[in-house]
Amino acid sequence: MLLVELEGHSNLGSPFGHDRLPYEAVTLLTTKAGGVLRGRQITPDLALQEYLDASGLGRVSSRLVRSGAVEVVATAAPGIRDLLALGKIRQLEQRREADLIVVDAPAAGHAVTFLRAPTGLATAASSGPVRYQAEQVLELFGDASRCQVVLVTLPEEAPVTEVIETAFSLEDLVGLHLGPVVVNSCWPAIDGLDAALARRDATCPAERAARYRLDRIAAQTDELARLRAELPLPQLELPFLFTTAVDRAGVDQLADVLVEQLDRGLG
Amino acid sequence: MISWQRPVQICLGPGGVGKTTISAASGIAGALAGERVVVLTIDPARRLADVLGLVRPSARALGGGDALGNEPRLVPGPWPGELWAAMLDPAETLTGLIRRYGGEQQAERVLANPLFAPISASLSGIGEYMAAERLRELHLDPRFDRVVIDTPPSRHAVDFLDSPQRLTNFVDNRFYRLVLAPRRALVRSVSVAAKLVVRTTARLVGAELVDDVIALFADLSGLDQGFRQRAVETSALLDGPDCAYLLVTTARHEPLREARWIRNNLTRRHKSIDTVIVNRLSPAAGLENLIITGGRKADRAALQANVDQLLSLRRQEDELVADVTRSSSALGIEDRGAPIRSIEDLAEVAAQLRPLPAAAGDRSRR
Repeated sequence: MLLVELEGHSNLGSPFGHDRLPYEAVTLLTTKAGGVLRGRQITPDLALQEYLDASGLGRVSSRLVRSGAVEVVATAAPGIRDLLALGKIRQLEQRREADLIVVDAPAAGHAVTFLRAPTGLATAASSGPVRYQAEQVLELFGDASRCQVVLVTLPEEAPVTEVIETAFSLEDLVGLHLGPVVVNSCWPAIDGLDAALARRDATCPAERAARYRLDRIAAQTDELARLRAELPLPQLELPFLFTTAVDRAGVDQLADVLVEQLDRGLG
Repeated sequence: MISWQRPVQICLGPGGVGKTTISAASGIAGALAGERVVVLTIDPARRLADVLGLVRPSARALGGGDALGNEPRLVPGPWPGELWAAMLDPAETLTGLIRRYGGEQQAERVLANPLFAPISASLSGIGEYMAAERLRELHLDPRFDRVVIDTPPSRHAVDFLDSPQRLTNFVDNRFYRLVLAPRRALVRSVSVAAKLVVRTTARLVGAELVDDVIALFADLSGLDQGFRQRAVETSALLDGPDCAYLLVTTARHEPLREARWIRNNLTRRHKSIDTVIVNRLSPAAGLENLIITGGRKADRAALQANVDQLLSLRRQEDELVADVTRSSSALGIEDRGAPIRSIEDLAEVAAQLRPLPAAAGDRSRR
């Protein structure tokens, strides 16, 4: 398994004791069954350097960077940087670097821009390596046996709306195949809390706290139902762990929940 | 406390922390204090847009380009002042700028360039700049006493502050000068370097794209003087004493990391955060050392289990934000269980912002 962090603040390594994942893959954990989880970062700049070196353009690359040409082209055709990162991921896939590569893609607003980069560039660039690279990535995107998108959201209004819009954009505009949608941080109910509240003075602090939780869970139930109605994808739910940051133990707990739900036949 | 004395209030913060809600709520707080406030939002959630009577850009696109997208609308409500809400339309703002400085013909050429749409549509840099531009226009508009702006959700929210420079950097770029200037260049090596750069770039991205970039720059030429002047003025507003900076975050690791990054970047620019707002805290009012008595034992156990979880979460949250709240004046806003569905709900959030009533009409600076 290979976890890929893109530049940004994704913090993917921290449950495994890595503040920042390096460009070259490091081992994060090994399992008793012999499985290995590795992690690495991919930045467009390093991917570009590597690419220029590989295509024999290494010597002009520093001049290109200094002249500002890359900056201009990257500003004018904003997808270039994203395409470089995606091209690198495709290369890892071609080389069979892992049985499964999991990429922590940018957040919803940026995800569509990120994943649309090859489509846009395949149209804009009529020839040359950028077009070739874009076509290669689009081929990967279009093949459900090689690549799928797992959407992750929260059971709240804005994230659910965003994930629905993202899902349709990715399918319609990019031609990507969608896997299950994961709803993270679902508040668990407490048995008998609503019955208890009904029998007590609702204005006291503990009762107000109960009201808060019941309201929250009601809003969450609405959003989960809306998501199910508007997005016909298998839905996996992960519990909120009442913690401000998920540590290693939390990751293991969430992994168990995921495995349990997948075993029940959603995968 | 929020710095109610300044006529421009800029809300910074990571995405997904309720920045738009806080912006709208502080607009209401101003209207309640008798001010005429305009809240400029970027892309509010559907329900919040409904509450403010705004049409989201995506919905507007379906309706076929509503020209009023950028125009503030009056939000009716039970307050002595006025609350106006507007939504940023980056493409419309940019087109307006180009028309102003380039005239109709040049604007048409620029708009026809195939690269113009992707540039104006992508919210990276240009979008932030348009937000800053729009902010300045609203600040100068005599209809409003105060402008509250909800900054765009960018990978780095501070891009907003650099954005006036970004566009002039873009037109000032060396590459641009290399490809457009060779005929005027006296030194031969410049044009050789230019050719090499153009050729190498063309090899990478295809000649057509490079042609389009060059054409776009050629079309944009002449605009740079006007743009530069405006950028200087907008920068002066953002750096000046009229702007108060609000940092909105939640008490979670990821948003806080970004919030600290924003704060440090502001400090590096010799600006400071006037107020930190920690939004959506686990509600804990009256829960500390609470002893639940009476009623059935099972009921008490259910209530206690909930109280314990909320309190434990709140303690972690308080500890996590301690360093951010210690160094600036800070406000904590407790989470609401139910979503915001009305102006009244928004006013409840505004009440937690606790405006200083004496500040209304008092425009003196600290």
